[in-house]
Amino acid sequence: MPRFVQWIWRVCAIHVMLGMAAYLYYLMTDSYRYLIWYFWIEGTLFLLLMTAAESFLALQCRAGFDADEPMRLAWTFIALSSFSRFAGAVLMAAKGWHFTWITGQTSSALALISLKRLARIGDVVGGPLALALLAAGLSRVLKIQRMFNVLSRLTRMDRLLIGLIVAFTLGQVVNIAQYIAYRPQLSTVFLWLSDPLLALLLIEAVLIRRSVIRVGFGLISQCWGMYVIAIVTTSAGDASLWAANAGLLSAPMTALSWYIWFFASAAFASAPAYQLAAISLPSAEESAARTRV
Amino acid sequence: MNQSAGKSMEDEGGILSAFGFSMPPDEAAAVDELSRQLLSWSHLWSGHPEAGEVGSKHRLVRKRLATWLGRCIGQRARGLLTSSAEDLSLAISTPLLTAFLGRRATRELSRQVLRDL
Repeated sequence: MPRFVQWIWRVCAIHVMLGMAAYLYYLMTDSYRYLIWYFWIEGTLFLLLMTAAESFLALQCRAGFDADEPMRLAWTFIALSSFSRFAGAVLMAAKGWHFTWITGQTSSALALISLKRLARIGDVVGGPLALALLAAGLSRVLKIQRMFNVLSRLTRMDRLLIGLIVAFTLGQVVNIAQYIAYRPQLSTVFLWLSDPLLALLLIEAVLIRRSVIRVGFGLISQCWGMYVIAIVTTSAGDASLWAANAGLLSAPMTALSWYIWFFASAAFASAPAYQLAAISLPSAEESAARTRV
Repeated sequence: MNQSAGKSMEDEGGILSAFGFSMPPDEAAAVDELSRQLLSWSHLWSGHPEAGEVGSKHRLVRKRLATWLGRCIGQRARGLLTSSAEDLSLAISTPLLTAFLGRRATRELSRQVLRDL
């Protein structure tokens, strides 16, 4: 496993273990005290760290390709998607931490309003915008994979899964069309795009998964495999939010479902780490050979 | 092979001498050696050994290449390129490697495959 990937998952494991201590305290005392601290402070720091690492690594991957290489554009989209997620995390953190910034200031009310707006922008930038950019990047990857015959034929199960995703998305589009008549805010309309975009990413994930199975587990296929895991965990997080809002989850299950986002962000950060490891492996071997001589 | 390379050198020497240049014998030998090495790398690159050439170098290149393909792309990546392991070569695998690793990394990888050959 590449060094960067090891670090990402070690940090994630330590972070989740600390979170489990807070969760156990909540289960035993029914108090949200440490759970709130954990998600507001440590959880936010973890998401900032992971999205920053993801942006840095994606940019390094992009730099590994020359301007005329097809994969350069794919990594440009993926790097932009990472930056969007990072920007979204920063704006959300600004909102989440506002209580420490503006307490006792005369302009508190105004600051609170602007921070709420920023958080709304953060929702859009870190949500649908990041998903759209990732979908563009992955569609480019799929095109290149098709060129090299890496994509294999879909199985009946894959087709069934894609059919279900398409049916679910069409249902949502019909719902959105009904709500548009009520003239919602622009940011709300953008946020509605999250689920259709996630559905598109899931379809791409099914195709990429098939290509990973076809070529076996090298560093490049593990990179795309990590994106599949990241997309599936993001969808699971999204589904759990919906289930919690619909009252389908108990309070302890709702709190437990919040941890999914940490695994999703660790998977998003690991993907470019695998690609970077593949790009730098030949030169690393060269350096090692020189050292031996 | 050496004879043909030597002949081309003589021809070049002829052209050079026609313009009033002459090549010292040690330099001519170095150029001859380089030309021979380039031809050998070219055969290793394309995966087509010359008649009578020892196949051990080609086997080593195929083995190294298969290892690199497995590590960087995936263990079954070779199957995308050729149905027979004997046909695997740098010439066949370079487009796939360049697409997914980039030009610079593929150049380094090729250097690693051809190291000490």
